[in-house]
Amino acid sequence: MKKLALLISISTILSCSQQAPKQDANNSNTAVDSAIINQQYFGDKITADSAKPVSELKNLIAENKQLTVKLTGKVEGVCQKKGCWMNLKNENGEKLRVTFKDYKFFVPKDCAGKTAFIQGVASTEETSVEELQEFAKDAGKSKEEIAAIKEPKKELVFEASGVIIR
Amino acid sequence: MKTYLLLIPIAFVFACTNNSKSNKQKVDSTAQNTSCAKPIKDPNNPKPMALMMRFMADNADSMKAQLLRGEHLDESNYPFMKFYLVEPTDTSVLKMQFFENARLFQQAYLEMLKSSSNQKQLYNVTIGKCVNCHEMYCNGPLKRIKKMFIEM
Repeated sequence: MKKLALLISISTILSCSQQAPKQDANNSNTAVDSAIINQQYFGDKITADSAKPVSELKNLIAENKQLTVKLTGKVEGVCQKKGCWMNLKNENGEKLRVTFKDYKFFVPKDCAGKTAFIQGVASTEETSVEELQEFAKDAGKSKEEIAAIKEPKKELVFEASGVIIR
Repeated sequence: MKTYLLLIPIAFVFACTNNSKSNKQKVDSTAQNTSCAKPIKDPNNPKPMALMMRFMADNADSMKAQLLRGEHLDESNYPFMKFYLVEPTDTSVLKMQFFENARLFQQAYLEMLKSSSNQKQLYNVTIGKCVNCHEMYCNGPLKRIKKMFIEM
C-alpha cells in the first residue's frame, strides 16, 4: 500500500510536468501573440523587459548630466509633421520629449495614447525659443500659443536609439 | 500510511506550481525573443523631399568617410539631386528664401566636387549650407547634420 501511494505521488509529479504546459502555454501564448502582433519596433530592436516608469527618471538621473536607461510611459503627443519626436507623460502630468537618434527613424503620427518603451540617453538640456516654437508648431499648436513662447527652457530630454510602441 | 497518502496531494501541488512557474518563465522569454518583427524606419509615408534628403544625408556620411581616408570625391559617385523640385513635407516652405538657400547649397556642392585640392574645406562649407537652411525650416535633423562636419 505504501509503495502504491509512493508510486501515485511520483506519477502525479511526472504527469503534471508533462501535461500542464499545454494548457497553460495555450492561454499564455494567446496573450503573448496578441502583444507581439500589436507592438511595433523602431530603430534598434530592443526588448520591453526591465523598463522603468518615466516618473522615475528624475530620481534616476539625479545629479548626472546624462543617463543611459530604458523607460516606459504613455505617449501623450507626437510630431504631426513627420513623427520625428514624441512626448511621454508621467503620472504628475510632466512631459518628456523623446527624439530619435541621428534622425534615423520615426514613429507613427497616430500613436498618442499607446504605451512606449524607449531605450537611449536622457539628459538635461536647454531648449532654445526657436526650437520650442518649432516643436509647438509640429504639435499643431495655434499661432497664439507659438507666439507666447518667449523663454528658453531647461528640461529633461531623451534621445532614443530604439522604441517599442504597444 | 497516512503520511504516504498525504504525499499524493502535496506532490500534485508541488508539481503543478513548479510547472506553472517554469512555463511563465518560458512565456516571458518568448515575449522578448521570439518576435521576428523587423524595426520600422518610417511608418508615415514620407514625402519625396524628405526621402531625397535622407539619401543626401547618407551620401554626406559616405563623403565624410572618404575625405577622412584622404580620398578624392568623384562627381560621378555623388550626382546633385534637385531636391527643391519635389514635394516637401510642409509645402509652406516653398517660398523665395527656400529656393535661394537651395541655390546656395547647389553652388557649394558643385564647387566642392569640382575642386581638386581643398574638398575637405568645401565639404564643410556645403554642410554649413544645410545647417543654415535647416535652422530656418526644420530643426529636427540639425543634430545629425552638425555631426557631419569634419574637424579641421
